[in-house]
Amino acid sequence: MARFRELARMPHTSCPMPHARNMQMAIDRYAAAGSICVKMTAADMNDLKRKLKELLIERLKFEDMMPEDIGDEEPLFAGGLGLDSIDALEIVVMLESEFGMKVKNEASARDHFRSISSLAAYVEQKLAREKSA
Amino acid sequence: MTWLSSLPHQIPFRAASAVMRRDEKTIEGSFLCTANDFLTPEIMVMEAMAQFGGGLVFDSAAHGMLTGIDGFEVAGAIEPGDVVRIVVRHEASFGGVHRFSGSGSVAGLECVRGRFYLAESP
Repeated sequence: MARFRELARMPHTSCPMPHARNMQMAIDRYAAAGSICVKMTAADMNDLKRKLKELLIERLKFEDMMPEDIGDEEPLFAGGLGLDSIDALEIVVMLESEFGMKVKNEASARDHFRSISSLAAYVEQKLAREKSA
Repeated sequence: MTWLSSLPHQIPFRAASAVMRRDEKTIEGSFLCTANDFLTPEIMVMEAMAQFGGGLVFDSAAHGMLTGIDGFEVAGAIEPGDVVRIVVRHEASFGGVHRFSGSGSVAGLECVRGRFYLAESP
């Protein structure tokens, strides 16, 4: 717990946006918790969803789009944002560079990449699994 | 059979002229610009990059399609007679789609660079 307090006080200079800073702190809390399973709070989850929306907008070069324009349950691919297979690859690269995740199972990625909510749940699950390993 | 002759693109559609070096993630080759090229030199270099990229990730039994180009920049003119040295790096792949970065230089000066995508043909 002391480690968590220490991490929470750290200036997160690599994340200039407040919500990104909160997200970084949530990830730090995971790291501080070690093998103890800690469920993300609803606020942390909302921060994660917002960060994912911002990353999608930045990485996929959505001009004139704000995070608020993307619904949590809106389909990312067919019928929703209309992403394609190239965008799926960019999401994989984004998860790897931003969260240090490796996405290998292409079949299950179809479900995980369905919406922002499912993507956030996937990131949470992978981070928790990696921390407990 | 040489690697170049296994490409689905043959003359006059083959832009990749020669391969100098190849490892798991990188391929280095050349494109010889001529006055007979049917597209502008910069587009021909982009095509050559795609052909090198295809040679890097696909074997002779599978082929790819150029499905996307991103951030392609031309920093210098390419003239007939120039030999463009091309370096293509495989950056990522997922679900049959591959992402590459490429650059082309003439006499040591970078003249084109960009990112492109190849998808496996069904």
